[in-house]
Amino acid sequence: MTRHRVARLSEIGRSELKRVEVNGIAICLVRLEEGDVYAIDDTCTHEFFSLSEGELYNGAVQCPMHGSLFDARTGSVTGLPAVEPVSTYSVVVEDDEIFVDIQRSGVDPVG
Amino acid sequence: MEDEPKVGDLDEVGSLARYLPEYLPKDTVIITDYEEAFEAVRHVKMRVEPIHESQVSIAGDTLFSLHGSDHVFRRRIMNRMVRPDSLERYRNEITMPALLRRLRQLQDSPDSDGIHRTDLVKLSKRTFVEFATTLVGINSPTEEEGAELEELVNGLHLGLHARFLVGEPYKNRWSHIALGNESLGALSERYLDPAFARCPVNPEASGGPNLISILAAGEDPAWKHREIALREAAVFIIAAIDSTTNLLTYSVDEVHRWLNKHPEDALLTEDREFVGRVVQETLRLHPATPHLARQAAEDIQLETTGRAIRNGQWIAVVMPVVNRDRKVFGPTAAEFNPHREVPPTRPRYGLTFGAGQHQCIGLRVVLGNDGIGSHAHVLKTLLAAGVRPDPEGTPEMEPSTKRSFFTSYPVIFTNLQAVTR
Repeated sequence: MTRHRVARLSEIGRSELKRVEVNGIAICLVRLEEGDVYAIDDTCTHEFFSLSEGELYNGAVQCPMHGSLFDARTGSVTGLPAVEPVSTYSVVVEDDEIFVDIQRSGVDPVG
Repeated sequence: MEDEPKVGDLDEVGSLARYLPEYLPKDTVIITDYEEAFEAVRHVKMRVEPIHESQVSIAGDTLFSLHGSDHVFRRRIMNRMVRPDSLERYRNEITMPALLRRLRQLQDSPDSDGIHRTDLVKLSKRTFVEFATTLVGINSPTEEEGAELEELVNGLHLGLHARFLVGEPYKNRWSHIALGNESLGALSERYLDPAFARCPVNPEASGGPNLISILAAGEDPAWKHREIALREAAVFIIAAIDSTTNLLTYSVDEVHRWLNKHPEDALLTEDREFVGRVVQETLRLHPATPHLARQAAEDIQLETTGRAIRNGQWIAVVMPVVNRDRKVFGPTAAEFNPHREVPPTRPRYGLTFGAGQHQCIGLRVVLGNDGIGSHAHVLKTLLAAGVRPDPEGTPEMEPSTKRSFFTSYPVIFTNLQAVTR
């Protein structure tokens, strides 16, 4: 278990993205409209731009550069031109603190 | 159409001059290898092609010509137009109904011999005018307005692409540029300014974002300069009509010849994945631009080949050649084959949409979310309607430019009732 506190919940509004780093890994925190928080790799697999500079659309993160879409829950590609998924990381929210487990990938949101 | 000369490597091309414009500096590095081109175009120290004199008045300060963080900022905003719901709306509510309406009109007006004939270039332009006006946020045009818009876009096209003219026409390019400027003025006065005047404050209103509502919201401060916003809209209209029409025409041309040689694939024309591959293979063989130019922002050495490029030096990627690179697309790279296997890390459409920061925003319109976008849907419908080249007609191409596009492509339809019921 390598759980890392990465941000306060109050720092990220609903439908917002936030870039954090854990041990040199760039992670995009995603807070969905409903409030759930997810974590995916921040680097687009298409041309390596920062996903957290993009926008959230219907539960998918849209890359700011070419518009590729990644499901925030699963990391899967839901829109070209990217074809490879991004990694996902388990997220736990306790009180106002967001923790990301960089060893465990998977869907485990708490909002 | 006769088969084009095979272009797989320099031996087959004979002369690269066919694809390279006259304005490139003499020390321009010419790139014909796919992997080298891919690296060079994506290199962070390669700036997008410096804007040519012919482009300033139509494309200056648009997404097309921005660099670095300014470009990223604007692209993020404009990507809202190519989200899944927008693409679905353009396709299902605009493009396909417009196409079916025109096919019904054609069905009702056969020639005296009972054959349904039309010009595919014209049919496509009239169909995609409706797509373009929705994308940009202009009121749905009447038939007369559609014809006027098509004429204005022809003028804009001549001005924007004057740099590709050859020989005498290139020497006289300023007359084309002047026509482009006049067309932009008329387009603005007749269509764009009124659309700006009535657009809603909220870009998400009116069933989804369109370009003018996004521009008018002014999230990018540059768009508060009306002339920049007008140019941004004009460039989108040109791409939405001309590039799409050329892709569709070449797709019909290629798939017809393929089916003549491979009649066993006739049933596959009902398969969306096959039709999607036809579009991507057509994109590879017939890129909209004959070359991609970039300029080095500092001294660069490319890893793929070790080639050194000096600060300030230009490169020109010869698109028809890199997209036929046998090392990537196999020994038959110069031929059309929708069943072609390509390396999983390389797109079927090659470098046609470019790569790196300036990869074309139209990619998501053409390919959709899964590689089967609006063009595949239109092509599938045309094939179901029995489209084929008119045996009594002769396709025509524009001879005065290095860009390769049809000005006329006569077709007949043999099964219109299959799609117009």
